[in-house]
Amino acid sequence: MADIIATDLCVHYPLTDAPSNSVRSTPPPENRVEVGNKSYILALRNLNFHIKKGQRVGLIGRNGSGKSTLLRVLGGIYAPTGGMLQTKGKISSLFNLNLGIQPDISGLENIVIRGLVKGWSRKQIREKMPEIIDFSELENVIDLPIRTYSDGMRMRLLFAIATSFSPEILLLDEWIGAGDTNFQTKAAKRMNSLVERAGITVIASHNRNLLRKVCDLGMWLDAGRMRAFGPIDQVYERMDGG
Amino acid sequence: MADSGAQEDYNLHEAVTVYELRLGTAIRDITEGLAMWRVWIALSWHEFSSTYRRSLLGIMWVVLSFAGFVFVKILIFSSLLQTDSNGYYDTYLVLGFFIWMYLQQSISASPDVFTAAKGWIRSEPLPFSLYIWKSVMREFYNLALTSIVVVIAILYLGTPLKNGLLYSLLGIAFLLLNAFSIKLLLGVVSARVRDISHMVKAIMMPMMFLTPIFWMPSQIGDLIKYLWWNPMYHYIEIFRAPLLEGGFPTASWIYVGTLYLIMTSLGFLSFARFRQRIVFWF
Repeated sequence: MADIIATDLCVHYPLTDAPSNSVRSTPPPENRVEVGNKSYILALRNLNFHIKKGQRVGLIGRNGSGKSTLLRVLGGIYAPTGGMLQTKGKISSLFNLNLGIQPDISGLENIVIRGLVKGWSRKQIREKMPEIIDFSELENVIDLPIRTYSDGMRMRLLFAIATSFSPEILLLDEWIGAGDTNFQTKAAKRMNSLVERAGITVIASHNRNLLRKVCDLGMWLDAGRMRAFGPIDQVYERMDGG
Repeated sequence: MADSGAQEDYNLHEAVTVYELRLGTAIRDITEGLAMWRVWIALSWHEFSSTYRRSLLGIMWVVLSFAGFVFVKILIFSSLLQTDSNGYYDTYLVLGFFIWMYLQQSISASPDVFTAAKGWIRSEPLPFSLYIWKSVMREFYNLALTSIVVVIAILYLGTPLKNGLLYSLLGIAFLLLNAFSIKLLLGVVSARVRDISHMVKAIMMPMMFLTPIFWMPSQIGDLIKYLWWNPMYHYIEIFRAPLLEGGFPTASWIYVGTLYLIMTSLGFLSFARFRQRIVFWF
């Protein structure tokens, strides 16, 4: 049974002077604060919410509004820098199609590695293997290195792995862009079955049609603040100034 | 808070304020990392083998390049130094250079241990110590492969070795543990201050000549008084001395042991302090 409770949840990034090769989208200037001689970006500001079992939440908002940051806090990548977060349930996340895989080894070996990372034994992974390959529709290329896969193929494989180890909380960031309609339908069905088993899904996306299809709740983030959290259609109405 | 009845099975993510020493988090990270040995062994092996994956000779290149290097070194330096003919110097050079290669590779890569794993760190909530063990293992595979050359060279040179093999192996085991601490310390510091990475590489370069690998301590007169304090000397000595001179190099062990305790404490404290912040520095 999954549950997520955020109490005054804050995340602020330090703006370091150290050269960094990462390119971040420019945040709105009001997000920036100076404490002493250090600057921070307030990526999340005092979020309070409770996501209960069986809920499917779509995170909406402009680039740099905090959607990805919130997903990463929920996924345990970032620690909150203020307030607190409580999660219950096994978490599986899919943030980026290029992270956390070894491009030079085969799809098959990557399944093993990701399974081990999720704490599965080699025996359990072997048992799940046919199902993952079948779901991702990659039977013919599963022995090839991942670098030869298209974005869509990569996404199918990662999604299949992320959902196969029966997570209770599933976190997805902009994952759907690379999938074709056929796979999107399949993926939506799988997410629904997960939610029916008292799980939670949280998805960040700019694709309204998709979110309306797979989510019942929407959370609107704007410059790190939560502007609205409720039934997704109503949240979109609010967002559009209705 | 977390243990108040109904909330017992919640995972609590408490806020990390900026100035705080989180010993519990650090200890948990390190023990969980150890428990996930299957993951770091698998990851390190795939990383190691995929480096040579699409080449004909594959992993044998590790052996070949080391063998070529050793051969040229012996050729040049033994004729240069006009040493004795019973192969003692050549053996000295092979054993010393074997450990030096390991040290150089391991220490130079240490500052990048977390920054190189940034893709993983930003996508999976794994213990950070796992990435350290992964690097330690990958370097160990290299060491194990190059040891083939050392064995062949010693058989070929035919120098009688003292039977200190167990002490030497103990030295290797220590070096692996030591590598963990160096990576922990340099990894954390360098994630914040990127200069460390360049600095360490710059220091390791001349270090090869400041360390008794090609020359012997007896050959440089008074200078050894200062060069004795070079830790690289003793990292090599705990492996080389038991085989060449026999016995247990006590002074070297005391020196590297003390250094180990200092580095481990500093590394652990900085890890406890910054573990939760590292991900924000990428």
